[in-house]
Amino acid sequence: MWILTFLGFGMACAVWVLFIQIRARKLRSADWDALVAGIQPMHMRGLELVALDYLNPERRQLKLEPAEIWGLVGGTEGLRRMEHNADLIIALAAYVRRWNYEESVIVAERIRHDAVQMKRALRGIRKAGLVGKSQVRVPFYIHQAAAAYYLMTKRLLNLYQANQYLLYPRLAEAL
Amino acid sequence: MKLTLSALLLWTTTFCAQTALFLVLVGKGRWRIFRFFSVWISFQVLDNILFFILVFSHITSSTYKSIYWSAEVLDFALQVCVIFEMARIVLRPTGTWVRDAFKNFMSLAIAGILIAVVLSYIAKPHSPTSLDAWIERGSLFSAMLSLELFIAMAAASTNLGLVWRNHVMGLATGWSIWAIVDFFVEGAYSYLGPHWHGIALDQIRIIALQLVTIYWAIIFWLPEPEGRTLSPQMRAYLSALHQEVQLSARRASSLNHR
Repeated sequence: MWILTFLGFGMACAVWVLFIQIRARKLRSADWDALVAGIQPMHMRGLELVALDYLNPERRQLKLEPAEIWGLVGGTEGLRRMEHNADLIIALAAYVRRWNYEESVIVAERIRHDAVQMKRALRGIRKAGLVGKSQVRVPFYIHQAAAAYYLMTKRLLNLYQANQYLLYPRLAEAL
Repeated sequence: MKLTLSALLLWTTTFCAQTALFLVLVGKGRWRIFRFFSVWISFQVLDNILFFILVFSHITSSTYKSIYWSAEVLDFALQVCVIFEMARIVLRPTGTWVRDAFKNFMSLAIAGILIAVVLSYIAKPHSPTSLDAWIERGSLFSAMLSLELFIAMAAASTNLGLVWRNHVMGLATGWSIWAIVDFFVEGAYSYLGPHWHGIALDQIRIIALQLVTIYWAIIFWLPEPEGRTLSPQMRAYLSALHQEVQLSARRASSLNHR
């Protein structure tokens, strides 16, 4: 019986290795056009409202209801898109090293920090959905995810505006 | 002891492939970046020579076994060092650990160690004595751990969107193929016993290692675009940024849990 467990575990490891290899190769070989083409558009105005509500609190801090927040970030599809775009945004920031090595390294690092926060918040949302008990935390997680994603896009756009203004319009449009 | 023609052929080809890789690593100066990997390959070359001599020398079986197992333990320790070396290269692209990379890597590695311990404990190897069974469990553990640590390193880097350079990518590709083959061969070795179809299982493992060694020799022979490093001031800035972010993340997390 132990051999079946062992083989099952081995197969799972082999599939995981294959998945990692494919992902790593994709990250290496993607050119700028492919990276930008891979971005899935978000409803940025809605996302910005949620993010600024969190990052820049005003006098009425409870003006956005949980259902409204959920709708503004695009619901489940919006969260999926944010996660999908995160790695592309990091790769696009790292791409700028061709023109400004030091700034791109630092900005990519900051974006990576934001991406870690965002992915953590998204994991929290998924976990709350599974467990059911911690549903009350979901709006907090959405706020955190939206704020992190908003910062990522802002950092990236400012990096391109400063270093590669020719590519900036296409990037801004894609985001 | 008398070696069969196939065993002699495998020994010769392995020795040639490993020596070629060692010469590439030294000749092309790759050892400066891949130090543990170079030490591991040179250890394998010496190990091959030593065991060739031991096969034809008049030593007792117990002496041979103790030398063999000591070499295996050293080989495993070097493999772990090579994985940590890959982690250092991939997860510290600018000279400082990418935030969360080390934590990510270590949590996956600890989970891997626990799984390897449990699976090797529940294994019932096809061994004549209890001591042999425990030795076989040790081999299973090392094969599993090598693969799992590699996965921990690779998963941590791809999760953070870190791009691998040519040489480390080649090393990782070869390592993953070899670790998977080693994992399944070791499982089959435990389940079917060491004498299944002669030494077929050993031959599969040796041939896989030879092919991977040749692949590594080619990869390390080829040049890769020169990497750039951050200026000392920028590196200090990045390090301060990491510390600051880590401190505020810890503060935020402690506030959340109050």
